[in-house]
Amino acid sequence: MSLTSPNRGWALEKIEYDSGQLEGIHADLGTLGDAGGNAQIVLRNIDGGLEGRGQSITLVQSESGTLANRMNPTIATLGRIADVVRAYGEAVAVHAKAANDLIDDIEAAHTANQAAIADLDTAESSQRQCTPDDDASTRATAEQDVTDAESSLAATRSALEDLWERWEAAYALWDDAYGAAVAGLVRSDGTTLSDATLSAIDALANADTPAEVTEIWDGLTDPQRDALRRTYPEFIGNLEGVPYLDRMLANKAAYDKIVEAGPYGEPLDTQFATLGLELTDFDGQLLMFNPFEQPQATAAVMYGVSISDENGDPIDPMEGITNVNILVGGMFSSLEDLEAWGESARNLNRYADDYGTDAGVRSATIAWYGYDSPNLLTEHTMGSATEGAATLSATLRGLDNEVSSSVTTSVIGHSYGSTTAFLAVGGSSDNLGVDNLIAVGSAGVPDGYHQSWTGDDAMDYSGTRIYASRAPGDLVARYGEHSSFGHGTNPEELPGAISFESDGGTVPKLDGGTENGLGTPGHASHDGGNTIWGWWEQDNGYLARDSESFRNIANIVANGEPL
Amino acid sequence: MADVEIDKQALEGAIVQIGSAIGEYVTYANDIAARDTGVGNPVGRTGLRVMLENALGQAMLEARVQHLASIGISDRLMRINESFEDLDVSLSSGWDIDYVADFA
Repeated sequence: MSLTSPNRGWALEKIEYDSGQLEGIHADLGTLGDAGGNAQIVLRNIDGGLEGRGQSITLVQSESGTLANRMNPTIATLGRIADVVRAYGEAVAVHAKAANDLIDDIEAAHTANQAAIADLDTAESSQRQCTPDDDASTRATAEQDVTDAESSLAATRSALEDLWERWEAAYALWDDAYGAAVAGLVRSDGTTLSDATLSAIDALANADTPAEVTEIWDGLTDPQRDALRRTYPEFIGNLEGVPYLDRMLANKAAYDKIVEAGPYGEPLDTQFATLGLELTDFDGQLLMFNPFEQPQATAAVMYGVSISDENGDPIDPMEGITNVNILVGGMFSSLEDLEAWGESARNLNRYADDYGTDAGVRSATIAWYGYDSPNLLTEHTMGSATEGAATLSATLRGLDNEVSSSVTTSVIGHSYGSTTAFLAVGGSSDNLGVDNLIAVGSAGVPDGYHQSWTGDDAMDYSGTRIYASRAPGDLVARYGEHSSFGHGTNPEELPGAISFESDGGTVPKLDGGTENGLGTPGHASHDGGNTIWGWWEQDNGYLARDSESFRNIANIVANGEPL
Repeated sequence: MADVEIDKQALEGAIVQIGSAIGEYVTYANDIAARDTGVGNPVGRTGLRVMLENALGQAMLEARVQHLASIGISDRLMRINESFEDLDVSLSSGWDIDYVADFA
């Protein structure tokens, strides 16, 4: 049942949380802080208490003292994070629980109220059918039935209103706690800030939608925005609703700061180096950047846009863009793959713009690495897709807020990336503004009843055109679909889905003429066929520039249909 | 008990303690960063979960760097301790100025 609260317009949804995990993390953060404190005591004992003279002793004492001091900010930050977790954990245990506990009652009260409305309608209808010829008893009964039905309706309406009032009150308190927790984490480094900056953080942290964020951002003063860019670029860089120009500048600043503070060991150092090349050599713009998210760093890089003009002055990166495409990778995808996926993104812009010349197409494409991609064990389940779909939905809501409705948005998912993309679009309770949903080598898309975060509603792709292709020899995709728990649907079999070919054929060349598009021999997005290391299958995957599959995608993006 | 023995005991204690204390610290940091935080994606909101995971991941990496630094300190302590043992051997078998030069 999909209901919306009468006064605040909030969707009646269960608020997800795990009190046990929150309590456990809070307790263990305390233990971690204590362990850090104990380590500092040991180090300070060496610094001040170790007997002996000589260069070696002096050096080890000095190093110990320095290390003990270096641990101070980490331990202090951990303490502040623990406070945030405790406060949020207490809030959800009370307010989110109270709101969740009312959901069944509200749904039952809503049903009872609908029945009471129907009863009154029936009673009034019966009364209208009475004629002056009816005897007094009949007319009195009809009138009494109406009175009784009105009374029942008043009672059910009052009960429902009371429940909604209690639910909205509990939800509002949880909502406040969520905003406070976000603000608390932003400030967990302990930097001293002006009141103006603090109020800006609080306002942005408490905004519930990208549109609200935009409104608040626009209402900030220039000094407030400058302070946020300077102090917390990682916050505004990832906040949907902040204009893309500001986000891209902020994320680049955050990237530079992070890299300067490294190294961090593998795989992060290689991932950051790969990311850096995409930003400097290929004009990628960093739209999202969570470098230390666990278990893998997440980011999104946008290609085909500029943030400054020839004079170096900032410009709106989305100016003139007619199409935005988002590439979503599947199993084992990570930032280390960005070289190949970035190339696909740039090629998609080139080919879509060329194929759509007559339509004035100008494309921008995002290589999106926003989730913990699955491995061989987790690929069978919906776990990674559920988490990834929530994050992808947030990206798409932000994009929908950033660009006008005339911009065509296409999401292209490869393998398990299609599982994630289809769950995001089909499982969302609101319209994410996606025009085209394209699956290649799909490992199966959600069946419709396994998505935990949207309840038990069926998948709904209304307003979105679906395209799909699976190469004849793609064994991995078929295995993924048939061995899954929750994504056993072939997207080509969805109502209205349009299949396109990926087995090789004639495709348009850039600037006219035709050429042979390569057949995709297996499952790979770029190289490798049905294997991970298939060096004998190069540049013929679904998203490789010269594959038939890729050219079909470019034409779908540009012209709304495969070749 | 001679002064040398007291210093050696202190050194050996410090080596054990630093390994144990910072080892425990980094183990907890690794564990917390790898766990589900329990925040989830309430009503589709992902910001808090991502920020918390990112913050815990950053703390873990800082703890790892600090752990590496502590290993450097521990190695240095062990080298000093080994020099004590060499000194002990030297004093037992005859004075050799080369072995004690490091402590000057």
